[in-house]
Formats: sequence, structure tokens, C-alpha cells
Amino acid sequence: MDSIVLEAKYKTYSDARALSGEGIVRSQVAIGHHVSFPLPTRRFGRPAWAQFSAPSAARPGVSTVGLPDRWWALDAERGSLAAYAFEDIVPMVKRAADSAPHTNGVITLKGGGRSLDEVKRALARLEHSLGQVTELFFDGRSAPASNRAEALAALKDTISPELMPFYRALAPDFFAWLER
Amino acid sequence: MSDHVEAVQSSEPEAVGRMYDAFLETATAEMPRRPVKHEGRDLIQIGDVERAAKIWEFQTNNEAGYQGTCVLASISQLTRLYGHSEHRENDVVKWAIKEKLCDPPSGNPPNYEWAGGTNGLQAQEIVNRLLKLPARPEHTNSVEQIAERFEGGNGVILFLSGKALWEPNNLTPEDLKVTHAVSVVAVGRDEKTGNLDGFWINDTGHSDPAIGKTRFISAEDMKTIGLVKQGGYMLTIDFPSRPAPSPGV
Repeated sequence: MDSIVLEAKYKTYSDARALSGEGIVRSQVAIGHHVSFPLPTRRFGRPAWAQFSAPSAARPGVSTVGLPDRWWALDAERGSLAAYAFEDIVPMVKRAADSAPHTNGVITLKGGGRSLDEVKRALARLEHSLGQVTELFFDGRSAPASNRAEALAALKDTISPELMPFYRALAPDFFAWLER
Repeated sequence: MSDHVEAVQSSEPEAVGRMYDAFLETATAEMPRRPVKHEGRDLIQIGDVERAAKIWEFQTNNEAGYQGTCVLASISQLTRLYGHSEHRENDVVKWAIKEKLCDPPSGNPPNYEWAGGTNGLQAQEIVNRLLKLPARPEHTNSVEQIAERFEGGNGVILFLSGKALWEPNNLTPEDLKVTHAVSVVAVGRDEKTGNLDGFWINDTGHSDPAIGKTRFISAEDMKTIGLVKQGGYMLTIDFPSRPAPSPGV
């Protein structure tokens, strides 16, 4: 008898990256724009993966990023687009600009000094640690303090400090849940 | 219906249909092949690297002063490489600005470093309408598939992490994202086994020709730089025949 494979209740972090890459990024966001990591949030009244994007220029030696110009959210159960808006129409992330180190809207990202392998390990750690807590967060339940601490540490290890204010503005409920 | 015909139908269906017919008639043209020694390995190089080196230019060569033109410059160079266009980067950028198919300068004061970016569908539309060639954005999880698209007669523009390409030992995790576009100009396969060894690319984003033109990237590195493990992304262009003489080279 064939076994029945049950679908996971929510799209994972990895699913969210792939879904946004195949959908919204391909059709709406210019190659070269900085696209944030997806973060879980319930701020829209349902479990969702939210992301923002900002104009940017990656160049040998230096990278600059502008203030976020749009954000979007994927329904975490269906994987479909739940919301998409430009910041000048529905402000959400850019309002954190006062906390970000920008000059006339330009943020210079420092070189990280890490190798490809080190970066891949950091991303794998982020994916794993979010996998440990996301479903509990989406369900409105608590998670072990050690798992929440590890997810927060992985986020801080992965997100460039210059951009952290925007991530906190993107998913304030998730950060509050991790830090309580 | 072929997926790439379907993909471009929305813009000019009749013209695309004619392009596709022409493509089918001549798609069997042979790619140049020659044995090369690369880093001690005996490879078959598929593609015309010398010709690709001659056509390479650093992006930003446009009157508008737009600097984020990696996709537009790659479209210009790749289609001129195979004789299917004489449009320089400046021509493509001017047309894309007129048709609102690339990002204008943003910010206050306006930042031209960020201007000129296009998304995958805009790039497809530029190739379809300006250059009259079928094209489509594609996702892939396989470097072999990228190589096969190229060897099968497609122009391939790969979307990848620019920082990982340029500074693989000075990264942050934020850098391992799609930020840049390059052209595949040749594929290298092991002479004996035929296994994929790597790609030669033209990178318009590095101002140093020694680095930008016809650079070799191993297949293994491409899995990371091209984000193939997370779902790679490319624009493939169907050429009616290749290679062809190009007065623009």
C-alpha cells in the first residue's frame, strides 16, 4: 500500500525563498536590487513570509543599498502572494530609515571578510534555526528559549547590521517573540 | 505548444511565431569546438572565446549615465557576439528607457549607480521587441542544464551573485543573492569523459578586462555563485543560427 505523504502545515524558509524568487522577484524586481531574506510574521492577520527590496549596486570593492522601496508577503500556508506594495504607497519598512546608517538614502555595506563556505554555513544555520521555531510562532505558541535564542543569534549573524533596522520593521512581531 | 513560444506570446505573438519557425529551420548550426589545456586539465572548449574577448566591454557605456546595466549590456554583447544584432549598450539602454523597461535613477539626489536594472520579464521583452529574438527567463537547479542550453544553440545570460563572483573571500551572507548578470560564452567539458568542467563567461560588471572578459568559472563554483542549489535563474535567447559573421565585433 502506498504511504501517504502529508504536506507540511506551513511553507518553510527555503520554500519562501524559492517561491519569491520564481514569482515576485522574477516579474517585479530588477536584477541588482537587494532582496531581503524572508522573515515570518503574523502582522497581516495570518501566517506569512515577508520580504523587502531596495535599489542597490554590487560592485567590486564596495556595495551600496538604498532605502527599501517595496515589500511583499507570501501566505505561509498556500505560498501565494498575499500582499505587495511600494513604500511610497503603503509605508512599512522604510520608516526605520532613521535608525539605519545612511547618507542621503545611501547605505554602504562593509565587506564581511567571510569565505563562500563560511557564508554557506551561516545560511544553513539560519535555515535550520528558523525551521526549529517558525511553526510554533505561526501557531501562536511558545518555543524553547534556547531555540529562540539560537534563531535570533543566527539572524544577527546573517543580516548585515546596517540593514537590521529594516528587518526589525518588516517583522517586529517575530523579533518581539524571539526576544521575550 | 512549445514553452518558449508560450512565454513570449504576450508581447507580439505573430512576430514571435515567425521567429520560432526561423529558429527551427536553422537550429542545428554547430558550435565551434576545440581542445584546450586549462589549469592542467584537457578540455574541449565549446564556444568562441577569442571572439567573445573582442566584444567584451565594461558596462556603463551609455549616454544616460546609467550604471546598473549588467543585463542590458549583456544582452547587447551576447546578441552582437553571434551576429544577431548591432545594438550597442547605448542603443539598448536608450530603447529600454523610452519603453520604461528599466529602472530610472532613484533617490534624492538621483543615484545613477542603481539605474538601468531590469527584471527577467523586462529583459525578455527587450530581446523580443527590440532585437526580434525569442527569449525566456528560466529557473534551473542544474549546471548541466545551463551548459546544455548553451550547447543547444541558446544565448545564456546567467543571473548570479556579483560579490561572490568578485570577492569570494570578503562576503557577508547578504551577498549570496542574485545581484548581477553575465553571459556564458563557452562551456568546457573533459576531453575523455565529456563531464562538465566549467564555463567561460563575459562579465560586464568588472572594469578590469583581465577579470571581466572570458573568465573561467568551474562548474562546482557556479553551483554556489549562480545559486544553482537554491534555484538558478537565467535568460535564454533562441538564436536562428550561430555563429554568424558580425560586422559589429
